Amino acid sequence: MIEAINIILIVFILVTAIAALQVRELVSAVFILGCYSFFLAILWVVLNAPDVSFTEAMVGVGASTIFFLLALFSSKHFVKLQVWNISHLFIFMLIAGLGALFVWGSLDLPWFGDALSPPNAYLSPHYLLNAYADTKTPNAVTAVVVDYRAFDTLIESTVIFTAGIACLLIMKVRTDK
Amino acid sequence: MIERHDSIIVQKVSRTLIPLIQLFALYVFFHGHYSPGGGFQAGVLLGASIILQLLVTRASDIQALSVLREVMVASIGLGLFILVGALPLLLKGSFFDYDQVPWYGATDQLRHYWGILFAEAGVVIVVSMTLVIVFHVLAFVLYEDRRKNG
Repeated sequence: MIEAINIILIVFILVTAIAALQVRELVSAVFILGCYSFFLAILWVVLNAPDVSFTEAMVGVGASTIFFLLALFSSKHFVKLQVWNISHLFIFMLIAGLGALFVWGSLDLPWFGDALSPPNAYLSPHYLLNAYADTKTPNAVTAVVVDYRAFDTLIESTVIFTAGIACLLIMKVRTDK
Repeated sequence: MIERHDSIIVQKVSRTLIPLIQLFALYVFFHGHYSPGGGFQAGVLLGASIILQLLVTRASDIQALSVLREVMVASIGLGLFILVGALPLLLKGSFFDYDQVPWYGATDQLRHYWGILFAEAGVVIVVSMTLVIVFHVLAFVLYEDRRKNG
C-alpha cells in the first residue's frame, strides 16, 4: 500500500519536474514548480519527516512561487524558440556523463535506511537514547538541531540572513544605475 | 508596485486564515520540544502569514513599512541567537553549553530546555523577517527606486 503511494508520488514528481522544464510559458512553469514542491512535501510526510514537509510546503509551494511570480512581473521576459543543433547534443552528453559520474560515486554510500551504516550504528542511537536525559526534550530532532549541533544552526541562520541582505543590496545597486 | 487583488473572496479567506496560520506558528514554536517543528518551521509559517497579509493590503496602506527596519529586526533575531550561544561562553563554559547558565533553571536538563527555547526564538525572528525582506524588495523597493530614477 505505502509502496503504491510512493510510486504514484515519485511519478507525479518526475512528471511535474519535466513539465516545468518543457512548458513554454514561464508563469505556467512557476505554478508547475509549486505542484512539484507540493508532491515533494507529501513524500516527506510518507518518509516520516513532517518538519521537512512543513518547510517544503511553506517555502516551496507558498513563498518561492510568490517570489518567482514577483521576479517575472518586475522583469522583461520573452520566449525564444530553440532550434535543435549539434552543440545541444554535446551539452546533453556532457550532462548525462556528469549524472552517470554522480550515480557511480553514490554507489559507495550506504543504502537507504541501512541500519548498519556508520551514522545509524553509532551517532543516531546516541542522540535517541540520550536526548531526553540530557535536555528534557522528547523530540530528538529539536535537541540535535538547537543543542547538540547548535553551531550548524547558527551558521544556517547567518546564511539565511545574508541571503536577505544580498537580495536587498543587489536590487538597490541594479536600480540605481 | 503590486496592487492588492479586489476579489472579496480572496480578502475574506485571507483575513480568516492569517490569524490561524500565526496561531499555528506559535504552536509549532512552543511545541517544538514535543512534536515535529521548531524554530525554522515556525519562522517560515510566521513569515508566510505576514506575506499573505501584505498581498491583500492596499499598497498605499503599507507605505510606512521600511525594509531597513525589517533588516534591523532580523539582525536582532540573529543577535539573540548569538547571545544565547555566547552567554555560557562568558560564564566560563564553551559555546552553546547551556548548563553553564544558572538562571535558566535548577537542573542541567532544565537549563538545556530553556536554552533551546531561547535559541529557537532567535531562529524564528531571523527566518520570518528574511522572507518578508525578500518579498518587500521584490514587490516594493524595486518599483520605488525605478519611479524615483525615472
